Amino acid sequence: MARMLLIWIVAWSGTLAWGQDKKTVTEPGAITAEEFKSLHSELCKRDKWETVAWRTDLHEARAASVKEKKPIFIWAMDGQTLGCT
Amino acid sequence: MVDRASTFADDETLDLLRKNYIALAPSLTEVLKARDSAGDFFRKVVNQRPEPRHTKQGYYICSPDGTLLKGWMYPRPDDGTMKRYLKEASKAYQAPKEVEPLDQAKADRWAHPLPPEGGLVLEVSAKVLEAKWQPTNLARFQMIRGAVGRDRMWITKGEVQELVKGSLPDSLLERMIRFHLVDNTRGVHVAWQPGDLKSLHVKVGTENGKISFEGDLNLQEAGNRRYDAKVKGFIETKGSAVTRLDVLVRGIHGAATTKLGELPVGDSTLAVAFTLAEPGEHSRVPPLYSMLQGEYLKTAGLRVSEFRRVVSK
Repeated sequence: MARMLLIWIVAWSGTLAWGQDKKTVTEPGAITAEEFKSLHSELCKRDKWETVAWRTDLHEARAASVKEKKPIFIWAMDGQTLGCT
Repeated sequence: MVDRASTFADDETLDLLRKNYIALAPSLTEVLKARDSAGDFFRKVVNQRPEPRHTKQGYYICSPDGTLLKGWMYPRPDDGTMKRYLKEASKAYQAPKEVEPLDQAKADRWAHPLPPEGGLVLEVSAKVLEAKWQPTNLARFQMIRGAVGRDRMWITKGEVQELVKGSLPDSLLERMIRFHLVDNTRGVHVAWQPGDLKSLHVKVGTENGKISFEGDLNLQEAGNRRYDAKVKGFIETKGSAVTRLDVLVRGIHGAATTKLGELPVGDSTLAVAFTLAEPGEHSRVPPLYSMLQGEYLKTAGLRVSEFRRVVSK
């Protein structure tokens, strides 16, 4: 019974390890000039979803819709849809 | 976040939106409660959607007279429904002959907050670089593991004046730390409390109108999160204007409790970057915690001042 339990524990922990990310978290030191440049620009780079000319003002969207004869597409999320959501 | 990483990462979907639609992305909570004509119009549109009933989050296609053409929330992640609806609705669209004007004289400022007059807006971007992720079968977590969380940060006119003089205001640092050094890459985050800031060391240097600063900080929330981070920043001014404000914060972020928005539990490397927001729509998105205006723009009784006072003694 104890042997069966041991086999089960080993098998289960193996599955868990396989399912987990292999990356480890290393304690970082001070931010170097090179890291500042590359990481700062990586984070500030526009994502694809930000390449659409999203509007935030409903009145302006309505006016543009009338002028351009296009329907309005609304993407609405809790928080700030274009910011922290 | 799932939308950003899946639906709105698809080139054809983005093309359809650019060519055939006027794209609007308001903040749902605020616009739903807005006591003005924008709120009335929005409620008129979203209340035409029969399902789902538990939330108004999602997508709507409407005409400028408020007629709902399509409204949906699921499936998430999207299975092609978005593209199908975008194509169908634009093909069938007939612009209304008459559209009633709305009264724009009164705007509910609670629902549509404006940045401080004479101040600045920063873009804030957060990313988890390294992490031990928990095993999960949720497909959406696989999609958003590399996601960049976005927010905006406001700087007041008084703080801009301080920066121009070559000093780094405590109130700016406190706002940056409490409301923006958070992992918002998988959902809405919780702000830090003033007492969560356990240590702060910032060394500021100024030369020819340029400010550079460097330091470290420690944030700890009882029984849950911690963030041990290094800080580096550069600020440049010209006359009375701030022309550059770039800050990078990077360190070990940890969370002890399992919440959907808090995965991964355990340690991760979290980086947060700040830069001046482009003018236009990017500057009009308010910071999440601007809803707590008094607290968010606080200038007195600051925790940061306690640490910086100790250093300057």
